[in-house]
Amino acid sequence: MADETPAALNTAALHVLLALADGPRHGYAIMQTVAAESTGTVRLGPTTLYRTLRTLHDTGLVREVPDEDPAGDARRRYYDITEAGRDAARAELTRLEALISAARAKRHLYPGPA
Amino acid sequence: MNPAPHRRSIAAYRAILRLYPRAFRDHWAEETLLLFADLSRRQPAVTALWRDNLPDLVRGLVAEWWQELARRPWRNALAHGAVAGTLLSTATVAGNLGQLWSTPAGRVSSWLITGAALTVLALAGRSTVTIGQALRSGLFGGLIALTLANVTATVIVVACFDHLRHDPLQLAAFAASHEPDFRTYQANDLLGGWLYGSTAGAVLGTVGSGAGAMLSRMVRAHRT
Repeated sequence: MADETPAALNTAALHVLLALADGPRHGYAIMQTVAAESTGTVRLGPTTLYRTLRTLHDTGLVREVPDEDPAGDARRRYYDITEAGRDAARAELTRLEALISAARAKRHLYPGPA
Repeated sequence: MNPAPHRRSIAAYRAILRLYPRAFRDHWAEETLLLFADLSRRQPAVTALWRDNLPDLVRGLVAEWWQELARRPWRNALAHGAVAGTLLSTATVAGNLGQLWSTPAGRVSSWLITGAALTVLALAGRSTVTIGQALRSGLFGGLIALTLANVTATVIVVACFDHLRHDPLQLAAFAASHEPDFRTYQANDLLGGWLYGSTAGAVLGTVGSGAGAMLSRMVRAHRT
């Protein structure tokens, strides 16, 4: 039987998928959302963001959607997460949860929240 | 905010983006530039703007070209060029330091090694999809191979100059060259190697790879 577990995502890709989970966004909005959701610890530069978006787009995890804001800048492209993208993000978060659980078992290394 | 420095920043950013491979430029460069323009409007200090974005831009440039090189035709050219270059470098070392050319058996071995290197370059075209790719693959493979051989020859001359100055075969070649001194003879010999050798490598690689590609297509067509 084929293994259907989505491939592991890197940090930038996971953050971009999380930023798109609430709805379509353009590049600048994705960048702002990632910075806010990571409390400033992850800052994607323009090329990193668009190289990540290209990879996610080419692997079918995000798709380009039309801009529904009539007052918006026509040059901006909007991106949305696909169902495969949601599955990949869920799988990655499950992997991270398992990792955190394993780390919590080693209390001298990672005591976790009080 | 003074708009002139920001306009210059955007122009500079655009110029660097033009250095990215076409695979990125065609679809993503315009949006990347638009985003940088957004950031520049929100960041009044030009120094801070570049401090925040130049490392990202340079990292992306290196990563994109690395990815581009890893694509099949390039990887093909790199692999075949590296193998052919190693063979030619071996012949260069043996010819210069090991007196390979002084015996008939040595001369035959040297020609066999050179023939093997050319065969490797010709094989670069075998697995390509189009003849154009085969020619490009051969061209880059040939350049890589001859560059490796020329680097080896240069290192030998620089590192073993005294040894070469007392070598009877080198002295005979120097006497036949009519150069004013041994150093000039070696420098001109190296320059010739870099110029004519690299050109010959590019031509031989291109022709060999193109011929290899056509031959393998004829064989496949004959089998089917």
